[in-house]
Amino acid sequence: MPHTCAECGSTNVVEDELYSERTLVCEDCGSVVTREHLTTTRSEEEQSTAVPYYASTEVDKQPCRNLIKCIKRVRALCRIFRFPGDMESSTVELYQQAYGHPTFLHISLVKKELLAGACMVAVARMNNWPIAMGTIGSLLEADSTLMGAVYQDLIKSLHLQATSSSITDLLESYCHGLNLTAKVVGEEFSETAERLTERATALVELAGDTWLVTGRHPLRISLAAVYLAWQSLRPAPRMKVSLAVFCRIAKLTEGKVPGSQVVKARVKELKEVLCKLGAQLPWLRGARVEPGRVAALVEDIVKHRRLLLAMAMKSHEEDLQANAIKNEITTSDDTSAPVEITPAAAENVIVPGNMPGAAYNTPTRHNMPTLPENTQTGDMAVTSENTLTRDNVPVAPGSTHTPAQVHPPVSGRVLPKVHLPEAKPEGPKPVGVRRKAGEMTCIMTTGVEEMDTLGEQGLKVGEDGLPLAGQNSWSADLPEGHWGKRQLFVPPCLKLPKRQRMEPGPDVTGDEEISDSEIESYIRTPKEIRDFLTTQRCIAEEQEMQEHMEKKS
Amino acid sequence: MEPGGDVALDIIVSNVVAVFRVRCHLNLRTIALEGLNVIYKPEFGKVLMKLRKPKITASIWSSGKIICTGATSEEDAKLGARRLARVLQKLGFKVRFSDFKVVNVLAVCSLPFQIRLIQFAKNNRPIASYEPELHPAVSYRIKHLRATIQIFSTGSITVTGPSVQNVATAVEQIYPLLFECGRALR
Repeated sequence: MPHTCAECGSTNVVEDELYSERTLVCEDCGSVVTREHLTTTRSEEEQSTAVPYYASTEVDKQPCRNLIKCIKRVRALCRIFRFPGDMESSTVELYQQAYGHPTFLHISLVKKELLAGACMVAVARMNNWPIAMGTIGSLLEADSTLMGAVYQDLIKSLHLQATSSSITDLLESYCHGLNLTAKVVGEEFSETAERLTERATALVELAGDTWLVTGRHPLRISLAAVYLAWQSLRPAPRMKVSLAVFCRIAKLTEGKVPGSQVVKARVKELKEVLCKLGAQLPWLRGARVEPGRVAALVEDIVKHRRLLLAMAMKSHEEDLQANAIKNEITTSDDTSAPVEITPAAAENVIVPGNMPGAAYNTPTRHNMPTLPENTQTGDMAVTSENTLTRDNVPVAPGSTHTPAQVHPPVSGRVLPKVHLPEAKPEGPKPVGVRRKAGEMTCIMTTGVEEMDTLGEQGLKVGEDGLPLAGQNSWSADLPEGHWGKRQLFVPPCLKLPKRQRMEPGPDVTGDEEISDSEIESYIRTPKEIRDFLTTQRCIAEEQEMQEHMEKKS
Repeated sequence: MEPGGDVALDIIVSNVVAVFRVRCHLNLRTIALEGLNVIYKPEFGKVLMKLRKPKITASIWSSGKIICTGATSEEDAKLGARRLARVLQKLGFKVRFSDFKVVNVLAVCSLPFQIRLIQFAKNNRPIASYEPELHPAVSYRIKHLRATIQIFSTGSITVTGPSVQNVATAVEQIYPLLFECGRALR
């Protein structure tokens, strides 16, 4: 209804906006008829819908409560780890960026805290600051798999390039983090961080050369190496100290050490390797080295590790060769061939054994199984496979080889062409691939008589269940002639018994006829159904009665 | 070193997952009652049926969609699926076998050399991901083949992809890269 001016009674009332305030003013006399309030009244507010936080403009101007809290947490964590100022600020920036990303916007608060940890790991890696995910995870008391998942999401969604730090860098910070001063742990158990780092690094390099590091959790290996290093630096009082006691002394954790079973396994593996190398020490004259007492020899082993590795490999090769020749002589029909074989093969095999001398100069790095391992692995494997291919011809019938792969048998052991790749000027050719459903017929593993002996040889075991030094214990499940059986140092998982694979099914086309009799076996007969239903009813009735009795009493 | 000669690698297909539809509504209770080798899971709304030959486990939903897992080849999966459809037909449903599709193939291949994972991850930086704290293998994704390869230091690799052909192609592609990191001599 039109407004009327109270003063002059005219209806000529117009709207005027003064200071954004809508007022109705009478044109004739200029008096204000009504005035709108700038703000809404309480009753009006209660009726209208409030603007939610995420739709309001405040989102862009000020961070929400959770984000503020989380950023405070990020800063606190950075201070705990003593990140430098620039790293702290980049962590906060990264966190803010990640927080707003759709992947992380609606996750739970637990995950948001893990995201903080993940940002720290990412920034530390980008700045070459060695820190393990496990360290931060244990501080946040987080499930390591969840932490890993959040970290990987972060890397993927923000397209970061973060390289993981090497294990030797981690080791240094690990050792410096331990408190083993004389005042705290006593004279006998104290150790300086520098000495510990040096010895532990050497042990880790040795582990890397012998395939104990690749693929394994770095913190577990670090702890195992530090423990053995600590023992070896003063073997007399410390040899009897167990891993658990050491962790308590070093105050690694309040309660259980995380992954203690894994660490124990790593210690055992490392001791095995040390025993194998220790047996090569000339002043022991080939006596067996016990894992319980190897700590005393660690210093010498570590000092001469390159040489000892080469010696161990060489003697292993010689053993293999000797066994191979022995078997050839006893089992081969063709008497002339073995005689020719011996010098040629022995020559071929020992030559690579001598090579490592040349390759020693380059220092070992981190997880790369180096020099003796490499050259001998490379060459040993090549020559061994040469010998294999000679016998390789009777491969499973019906196989689809391309002609290049099959080498006809040659009398004596004139080395046929290397089966496995060698250098060629062109780019890599596509690999010929043969697949057969469910069947395991690796080309390299046809039963060569020589290799049979390895199965027998390998299982001589000493008192404490460890293989005699210099010998290899391998699982009987590895196929004959598998490269894992030929080499002295292999990833330990190859020595464990293998899981049985499913039997391969028959070759089918998928469109065969299905007979009724096959199908009948999957359907219950009507009698069975009736029996089943009556039994079900009886059981239900019994249960009801029982409940009834229980209720009564 | 670059691979020059041909190498024959055995790829063992250990699992094939396939889906198909029967184009009719299925009564799960009837299947659970009248079928042998079935497990009824009412909380998930499905029935698990296990066939003996080929060794296949099928998840059957009431909408008529079925997932078969456990076959060792694509043809095996198809045969198993058809057998299953026949069983359902015998149970009294008006089934029509349609939309059969192999969704995932898992294969394992054993290479004859160890692999230095750190070097491999470094050489193939954004595509390969190696986190020893989380998983012992390097994970390598080939986008255009939609295949994922897990590479272990012992030389065995597992490949998953949408078909057996993809899996074979993925192995062919990854072999030269692995060879570099497994055999490079100083």
